[in-house]
Amino acid sequence: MLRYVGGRLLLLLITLWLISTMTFVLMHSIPGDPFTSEKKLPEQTLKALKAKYNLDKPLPQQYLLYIKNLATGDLGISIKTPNRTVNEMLEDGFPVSARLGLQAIVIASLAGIVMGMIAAVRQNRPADMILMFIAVLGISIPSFVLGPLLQKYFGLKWELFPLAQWGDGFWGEFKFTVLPSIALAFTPLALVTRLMRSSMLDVLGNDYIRTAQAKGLPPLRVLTRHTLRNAIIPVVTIMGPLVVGILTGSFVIEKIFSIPGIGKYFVESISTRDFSVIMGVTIFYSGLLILMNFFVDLVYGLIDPRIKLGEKEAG
Amino acid sequence: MGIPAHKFQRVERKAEQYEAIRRPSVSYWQDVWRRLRSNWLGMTGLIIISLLVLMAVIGPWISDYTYYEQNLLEEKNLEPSSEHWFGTDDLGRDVFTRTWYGARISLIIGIAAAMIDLFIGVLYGGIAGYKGGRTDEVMMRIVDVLWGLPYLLVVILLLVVLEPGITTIIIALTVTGWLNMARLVRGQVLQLKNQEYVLAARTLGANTKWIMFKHLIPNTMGPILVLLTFSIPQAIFAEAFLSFLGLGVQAPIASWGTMVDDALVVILSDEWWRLFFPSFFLGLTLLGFNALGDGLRDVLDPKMRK
Amino acid sequence: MAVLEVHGLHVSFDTYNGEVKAVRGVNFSLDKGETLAIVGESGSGKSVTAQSIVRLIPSPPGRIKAGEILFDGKDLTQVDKKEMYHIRGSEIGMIFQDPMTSLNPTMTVGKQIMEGLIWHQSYGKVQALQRAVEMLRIVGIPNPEKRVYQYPHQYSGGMRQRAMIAIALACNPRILIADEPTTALDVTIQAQILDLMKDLQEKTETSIILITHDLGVVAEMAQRVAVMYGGTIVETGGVEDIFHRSRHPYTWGLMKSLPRMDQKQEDELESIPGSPPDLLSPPQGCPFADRCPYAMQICHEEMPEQTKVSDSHQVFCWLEHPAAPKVNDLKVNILSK
Repeated sequence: MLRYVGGRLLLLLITLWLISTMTFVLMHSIPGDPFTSEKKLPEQTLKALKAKYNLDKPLPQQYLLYIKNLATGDLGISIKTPNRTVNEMLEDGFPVSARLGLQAIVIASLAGIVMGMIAAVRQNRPADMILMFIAVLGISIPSFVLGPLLQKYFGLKWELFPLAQWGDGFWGEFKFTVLPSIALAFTPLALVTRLMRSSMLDVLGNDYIRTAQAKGLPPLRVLTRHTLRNAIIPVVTIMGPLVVGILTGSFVIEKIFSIPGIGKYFVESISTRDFSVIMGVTIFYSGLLILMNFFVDLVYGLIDPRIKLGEKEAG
Repeated sequence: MGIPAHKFQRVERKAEQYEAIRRPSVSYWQDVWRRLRSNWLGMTGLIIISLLVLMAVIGPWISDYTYYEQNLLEEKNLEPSSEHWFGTDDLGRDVFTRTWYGARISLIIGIAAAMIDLFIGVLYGGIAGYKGGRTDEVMMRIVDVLWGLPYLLVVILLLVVLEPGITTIIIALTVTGWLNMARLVRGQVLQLKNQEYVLAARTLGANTKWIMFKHLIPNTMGPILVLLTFSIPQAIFAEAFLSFLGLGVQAPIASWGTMVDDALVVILSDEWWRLFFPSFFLGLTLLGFNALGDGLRDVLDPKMRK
Repeated sequence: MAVLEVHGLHVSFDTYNGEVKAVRGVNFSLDKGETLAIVGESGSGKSVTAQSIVRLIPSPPGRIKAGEILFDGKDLTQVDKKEMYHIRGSEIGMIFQDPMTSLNPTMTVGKQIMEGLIWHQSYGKVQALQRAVEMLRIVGIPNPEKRVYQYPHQYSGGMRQRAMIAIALACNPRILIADEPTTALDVTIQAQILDLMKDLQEKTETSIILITHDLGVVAEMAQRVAVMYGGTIVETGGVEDIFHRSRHPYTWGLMKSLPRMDQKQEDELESIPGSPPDLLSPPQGCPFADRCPYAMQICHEEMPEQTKVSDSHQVFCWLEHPAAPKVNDLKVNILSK
């Protein structure tokens, strides 16, 4: 167990290092420097700027400085708005994005599990067909299409939810987050529903379900005690990819709903080619996702007693 | 009793009768096709895809307009009509032409990316699985490390740096896209290579290449085909997503993603056609490939075979 | 006195291809403390018969079309679902073929034993746990106080089957249905499990319905045997009747296909040529007629009636008919080499 966790942590660090190095190499492979595209700056200012971003030093030294800063959690300064550090931007944006993301994850996983369960139990009956139809819609409608639609109808036409700005306090904000959360959660919800359904059907076909029935347990008890737990296990394995999907989805959703989260900063930094922000956000999100995947694996090991952490997966 | 005596005559049985094979023999792919035809989900997907491909080919061709032709003076934001079947956008460009041109882009990117994934994945996973041992260990460790990289973030990063264009998108999508395929192929090969018929081929003196191409690859085709079908919509979605963020194909080339992005203003106005057509056909494409993938999985899953 | 009586049981499965008539008119009874073996090859309907008794056939597509199953004077095909839940597990226990897949992998063995007790006999948790430990000890699992907290994957195959027996017997059922209980086990373990079942049966006077295709197991365990073929019982009798005085050509075939110690090694094992009838469209006559070397015209046309050989021994075969030729005159070998 300990050895396994240690090994996984090492892998995690290697991946993090790889992505940091990759961003560094990529960002420095662009010809010229970030200021060449700007209007001609006075020699003096340019020099000062370059010194500020360590761009006057030789590349290997820049790299070492960059890795050293990363290790201490310093993600650098924005190039386009030089009085803001990337850390400040993340501090501002993260609570907003995290909230949106968490809400979406909760909607997607809880509703998905329940919907998948109902669909499986009512296999090939109307309820199943309706739920599967919703799931198909979820997979076919990208969030950047659903977002504008929700905005137009629920926000503008029927005025069910406010759109204009971000409110204050937990509940004040809540009504603003409803539509974006739904838009963000829709595709993951569909994925969870489908997976849960097929996993339930799989479990229901198992011999131990027959054993439980032969014990005389009524259907509801068989369902809660023997089916659910085993059916949820595969769903846990897609939590990692699910979070990735929601995080990247938040880029477009925050753009569409003008939500002041990390995604919005990121998209803006892409269009203004603000490289230090792009690098910073990429590394921050990568780290977050890699950690998430790590925890998902640990949880997986906990809920499935058959998995002894550290044993090699087969296949 | 009432039964006539002749009924108690012994009836000779014929040996051929009860060991006869009743079903005609069909090849693997014939069998797959036969079962796919009776799978409505898969067939729906196949029909949708066929129609979309057809329209992508002939759509821009049958229209009187081009995807880049602007008409700012007279034809801005026109409703769908007999003149412009899907209306026009804010630059007076024909939405019908642009939609089907976008379909071309999406399909080319989706299929090309999936094919490259397939090629790299089969080669890499095949070698890792077949060689096994130390080689496999090292190769899969590399995959594990790359696996941790968030797909779309890496793609975004690459696109920020590289020259924008269709080729760039395809390259960016395949940089980490092949991992899935490699893992699948390796698992399949590992599982299959110790099976009796491969051992039999080996004892008969077949060489590695022969075993790879005659035994291992045909037997891993099922799951590979399913994954391939699912990776096409994934690439199409990624392209639309990136184009929506302004990282995909560049103006004036039409892509469903850019068209949706340009159409965001209709939230405030009423030119619904500008958002509807690209969104609808993007959704339909994703639906078609996912349905075909589901259908193929049902058909190719040995557990379901009867 | 009969604990269980089955009369004219018909079970069908509705499939895409049509109605599969898996069980077509089965009759038998089971006495207290007795072991009845139902023997037959796969597809003969023996497992479906067993599962129908506790109404465990998946429905749809399966359904009991006709017949009655009398347990305690109650017809189990008619009792309502709720009552059935209380009969299953508490009055009639079941064990299945594959102990590897028949236990829930994510629940401790102890909990799986306790479940039935808590549900049927309203045991408290502590009480149920004590009983679970006791059951594990009874079925011969060493260190039960510790084992009760373990998961199935920490048990060996034989121990899992012991655990299955513990689950099935926890509530002291009057009937135990064992569906191929030893098929998936190693030969040495098989003997242990059979001994255990016999031993427990003597102590508790449980009646056992043993479903198997293994005649060795039958000889070891059963007092009475029902031979099933093509969804019907073709011969039924005491162990002695079936092993030494069998009257049905199918039973002869079964006996002869057993490998014997006195057989020369060069001799090939014998088998009955052909395969069981397609129950989608079962033959209108005797189901075995197609493979029977003695088959007469009547065999293909009409189902044979019951012939009472003795009080305990009945057979369904046209050869028993007075008009039929004597078997010894027909010089045919039932088996092919």
